Amino acid sequence: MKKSDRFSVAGRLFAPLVGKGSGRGFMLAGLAMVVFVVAMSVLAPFLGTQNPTYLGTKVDSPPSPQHPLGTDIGARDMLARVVWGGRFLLVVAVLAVIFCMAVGIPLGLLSAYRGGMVDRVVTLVLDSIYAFPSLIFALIIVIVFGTSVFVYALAIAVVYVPSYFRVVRSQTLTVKELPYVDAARSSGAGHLAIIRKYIWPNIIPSVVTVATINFADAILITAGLDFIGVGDLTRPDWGVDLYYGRSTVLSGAWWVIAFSGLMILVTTLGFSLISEGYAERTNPKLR
Amino acid sequence: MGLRDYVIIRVLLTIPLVLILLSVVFLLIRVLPGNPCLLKFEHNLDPQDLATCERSLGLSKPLYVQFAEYFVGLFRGNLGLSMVDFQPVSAQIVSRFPATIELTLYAFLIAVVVGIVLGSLGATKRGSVTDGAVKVIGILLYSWPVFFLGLIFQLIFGVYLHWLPTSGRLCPGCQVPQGLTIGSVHIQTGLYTVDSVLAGNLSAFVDSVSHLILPATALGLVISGVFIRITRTNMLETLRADYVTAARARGLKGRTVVYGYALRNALLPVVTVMGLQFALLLSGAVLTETEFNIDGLGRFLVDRVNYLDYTAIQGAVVFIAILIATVALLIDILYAYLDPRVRL
Repeated sequence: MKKSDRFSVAGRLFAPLVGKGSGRGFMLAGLAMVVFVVAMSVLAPFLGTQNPTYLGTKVDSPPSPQHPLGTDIGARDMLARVVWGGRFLLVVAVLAVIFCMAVGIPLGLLSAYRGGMVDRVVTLVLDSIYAFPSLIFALIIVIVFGTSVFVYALAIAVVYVPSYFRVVRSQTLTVKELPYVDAARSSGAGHLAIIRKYIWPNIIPSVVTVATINFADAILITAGLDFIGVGDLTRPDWGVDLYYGRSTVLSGAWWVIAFSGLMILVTTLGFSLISEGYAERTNPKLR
Repeated sequence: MGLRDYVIIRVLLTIPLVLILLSVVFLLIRVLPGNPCLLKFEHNLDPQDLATCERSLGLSKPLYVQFAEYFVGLFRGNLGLSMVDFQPVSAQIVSRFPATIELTLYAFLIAVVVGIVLGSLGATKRGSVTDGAVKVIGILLYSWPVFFLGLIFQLIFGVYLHWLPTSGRLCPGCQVPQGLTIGSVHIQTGLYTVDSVLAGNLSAFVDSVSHLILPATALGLVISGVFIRITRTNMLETLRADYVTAARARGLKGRTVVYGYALRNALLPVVTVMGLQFALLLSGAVLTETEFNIDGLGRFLVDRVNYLDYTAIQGAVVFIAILIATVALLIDILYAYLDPRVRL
């Protein structure tokens, strides 16, 4: 890595990926899991699976040569559902993270930078949302506005914007008082220049950590809402599989929940491992 | 500032929290399509009856009047009438609440014990294989969907081993424990594990505990991931503090230093984080109650959402908001009591 890269935004973002040291194993393991799930979901149409929504005749049949992972209560092929079931969850998570960043980061910067009344009101409102159980908030939003991808993403964004806001705001408050920012200001740097050149690079590591956890939680919330049955139950989706599996698990149909559940776990675990590894590499206190 | 002033200010600060959440949900729910009166009479209703129904539920008034009336009612503990069965919402919530308290309380205990034990174990063996394992367990538990863990428990301990029941709070048809009556005073908490002890009913106690083990453990283990992580991080920092080195230098035993000196101080920040975990517990309770057929607040909410029961949803949200504010308040006061610097 060139020396100048250490101070650029891209340098800050990717520096933790290279070089040995603690946290690297976590990051690589997490990346491998996420890459696996994303690749499987993107390539689903080309993997030659059966139709994940096709209603067959062999209801709740255990794994067999014809259905390697068995079938569910609607006689749908579980292998196909496992392969296709992450697409919706991942799209929701990606959209949610984009929404959150687009709102949470500017709001945090502005609130901390301006201070005063604006800061107090915004903090109060977002803290209220932050304190409330996220799944319940998201549940109400989905009930009101429907079960489309955008509504799910919006619901998760609403409950997750406060996390970005808090991190960005507190970092900005700390950085903005540092002598070098004062020095820049007194030598005539404008607000935007100060935010872009001095504050923003210091915020990146925290934002990345929040974003990776945001991915994991977005998957957990979306799958959770599908699990309690408020989502679109015709969609191939790991959460929906567990919703159907709930009624058949008591008769021993383990294959309906096992594979889809593991896929949710691999996805959330992948993002959590990346988050943990990244945090360890950027914050020596955690080592 | 004394502790009393601190408490008063904190109490005043919780009011906006409840108010903001109430306003958000009130407005959000009014966007909902569908009219509960039409829903109730299945669309074949003459206009006169419709108007009467809407008037009785207060739907015909302007929005701000509805809001004001709701807010005033709130102070009298009146959350309005359910739009499904026309019963007072507050009574329904109160009857469902103990099941949620019981589940979250036991889950919380499990989470705290697992979190503190594993977290401090990892920190004292920093960098070892044990520490690595603790970290991995923490991340794994945090990432594990609570409903998936619950299903696995149901499958293993209910279906395969037949050790524990997988549904409800008591065996089907069993009588609810009645609590204790001393003279004219009747004590009944609604927590079956407590009531059965009060009533001296051993079989009901065993029954209610056996019904709680699976859901409470599933929820508790998932939440413990957060506690493992926080305890470990705080413990690491405390173990580096000068007074810990000083205690070691004076020749105190390793165990005394770790558990007598470091752990007590490391747990202080953990207390503040507990308040926030309460929200996570409630989210988890919605999933766990649905999964294990426990008639608590979470399941109430999910049931009423399916009926578009505005007032019940709103009531549950307001109740949860007040609950969260109260817990946050208690934790803050506890923290201020434990650490006098906060009050400065």
